[in-house]
Amino acid sequence: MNSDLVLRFGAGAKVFVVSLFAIVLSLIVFGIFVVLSGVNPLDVYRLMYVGAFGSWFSWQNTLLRSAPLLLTALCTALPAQMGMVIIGGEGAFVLGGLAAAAAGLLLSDMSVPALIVQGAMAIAGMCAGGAVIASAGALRHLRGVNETISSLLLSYICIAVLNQMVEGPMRDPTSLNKPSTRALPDWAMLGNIPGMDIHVGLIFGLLFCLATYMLMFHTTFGFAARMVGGNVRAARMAGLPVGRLILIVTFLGGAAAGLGGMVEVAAVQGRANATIASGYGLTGILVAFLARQNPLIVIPVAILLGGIDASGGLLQRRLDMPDASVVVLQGIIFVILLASESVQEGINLPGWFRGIKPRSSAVAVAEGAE
Amino acid sequence: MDFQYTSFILSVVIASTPLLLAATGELVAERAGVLNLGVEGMMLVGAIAAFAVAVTTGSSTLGILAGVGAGVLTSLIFALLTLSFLSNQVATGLALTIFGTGLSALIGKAYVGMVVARLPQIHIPGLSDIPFFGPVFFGQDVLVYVSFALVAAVYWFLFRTHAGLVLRAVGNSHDAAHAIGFPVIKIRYLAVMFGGGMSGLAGAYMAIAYNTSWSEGMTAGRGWIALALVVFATWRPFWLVVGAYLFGSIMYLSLYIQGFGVHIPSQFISALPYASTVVVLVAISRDRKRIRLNAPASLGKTFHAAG
Repeated sequence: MNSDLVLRFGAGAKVFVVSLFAIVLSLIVFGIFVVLSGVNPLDVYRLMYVGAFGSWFSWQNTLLRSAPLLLTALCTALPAQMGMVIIGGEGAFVLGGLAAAAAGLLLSDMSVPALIVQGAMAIAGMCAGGAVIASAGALRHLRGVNETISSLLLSYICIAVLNQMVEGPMRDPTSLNKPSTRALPDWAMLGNIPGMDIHVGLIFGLLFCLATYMLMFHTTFGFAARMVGGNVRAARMAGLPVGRLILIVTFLGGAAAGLGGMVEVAAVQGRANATIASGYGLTGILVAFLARQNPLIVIPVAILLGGIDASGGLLQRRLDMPDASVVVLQGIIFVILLASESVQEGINLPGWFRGIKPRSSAVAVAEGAE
Repeated sequence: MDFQYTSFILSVVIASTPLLLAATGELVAERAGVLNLGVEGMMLVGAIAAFAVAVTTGSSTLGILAGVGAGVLTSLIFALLTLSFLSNQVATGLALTIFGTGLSALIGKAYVGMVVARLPQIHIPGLSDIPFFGPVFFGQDVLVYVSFALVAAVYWFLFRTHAGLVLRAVGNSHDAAHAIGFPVIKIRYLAVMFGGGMSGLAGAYMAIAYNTSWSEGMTAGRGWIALALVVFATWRPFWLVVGAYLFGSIMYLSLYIQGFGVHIPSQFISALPYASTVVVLVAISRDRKRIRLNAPASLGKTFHAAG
């Protein structure tokens, strides 16, 4: 048992070291881009650190930006435990935000306590988001429809629904240039964590990650779900309710992203409009893959990417670098981290990557016998 | 009245051609078993490369070539990662889209506000002057004809040549193809690069034929529509033409319907391509025979040659 623990710790340490190396490599590649655009890369690195983690102020900014990523990443990470690749987080996020805005506006007109309004918004957001992803799960289970493609398509339909609602039935007539719903009253908005400048959405994200980690890795439900991911036929033979498990887990994933949309509306924008669909869902998918679909590892990965995002403004102000620079860096990090995964597994690289070809054990045995 | 029909058809052709180009490339990649979600990113990189070269040299031809080349190079990143480093195709494709969006915006910053000469429409004396039929059949820009020729060429290649049969075999069962001795990885590299080149061409079309200027994120989701289109066409080249022109008409209508004073929810119309693709997906999922005939069975799966 002890050796097992050592083995697990060793594997974890290896992942950590390789990931760290990949991030350093990404920064170097990004530095080359920076040099090409005529800026000193050392200035960029320093400013990025300052902008992301250099002070309490920048830490708060970083955590604020990582909050939605925590939730949208779960939308991919949870179904992935069942072997499903879901990429509709953006749709669940957007529809969750829209439903939360609708519920919030409806209830705040009826002068009920703030806590009830907020609770209803959260439930509406989670149900809407959950329904989107669960329908991709249902299509997969009932009709064998590829869930990756269907969730992507559903996501675009959700964005169209959002645009239609804020431009049509739910539009505030006074929002001329940027069609939006009416603003939520201040008292119904989500507040900050006491003593910080960070809204409680961060807490939602962290709790959701911890709770789903416990659910997936330390309960019989999670074991059953992961068994479906490992081998559907074996799971069926064992009498597991495969369909119900798929529906519940995809619903949970969608609910996480939908809650993210609710937070975006109830703590950041204060209303629903087209800016809710700003790519948190897309980045969340990559956070999930980089975290190897583990809800617990989602937390540090989301904070890292939130930090990169947060440093963008500073780069723009101080060095006059375009907003897109940090997007390029994110792209490079994703690409290199994805590549690093197979390097640590050391499989199937072409000979010129491997250097010396590892000898097969059969050859080694034959030579030993000589 | 006749004039309006003509201009409507011409607008639809211009809206549909980039979809058809990008989808034709993606169809070949998917037929080889590779799902590349980076179409949008490759299109954007192709667009800025084509625009930059066309502005600098004043030559549309060089611009188009640059767009294709940039698309191929971008797709090589994807091919290297997914085929040699065995990374997940979905994640890598999304990363490619993010990277391409950022990179094109970074390069394009210097080109905002510039204008390039529009890709000229061909003119055949006599034929192009026939009312209605002239401009519609003999007066498009050259890439419109290229897009149709490429669909036919891809059909011929996939279903009438040995190499095409091998490519489809690789997409259907990479393990079986590998066991027979086909170079799975090499074939997939070529298919992905073709897809990249076509996405780059589609981006070039956006930058110098659809528009004549560069703006950040100018492909506006067309890469995703192209992906939906391949599924909508159930991986059959000629159905791509039907789908591309259907989706192109829908996109054109959703843009201009407000101008006609018709009260139809325009955002719902813009969701029609996605909604109809979902319907097609559900419909073909019932017909198991058709799926088996057309959908590449190894789509999106990582190939790992054992031993």
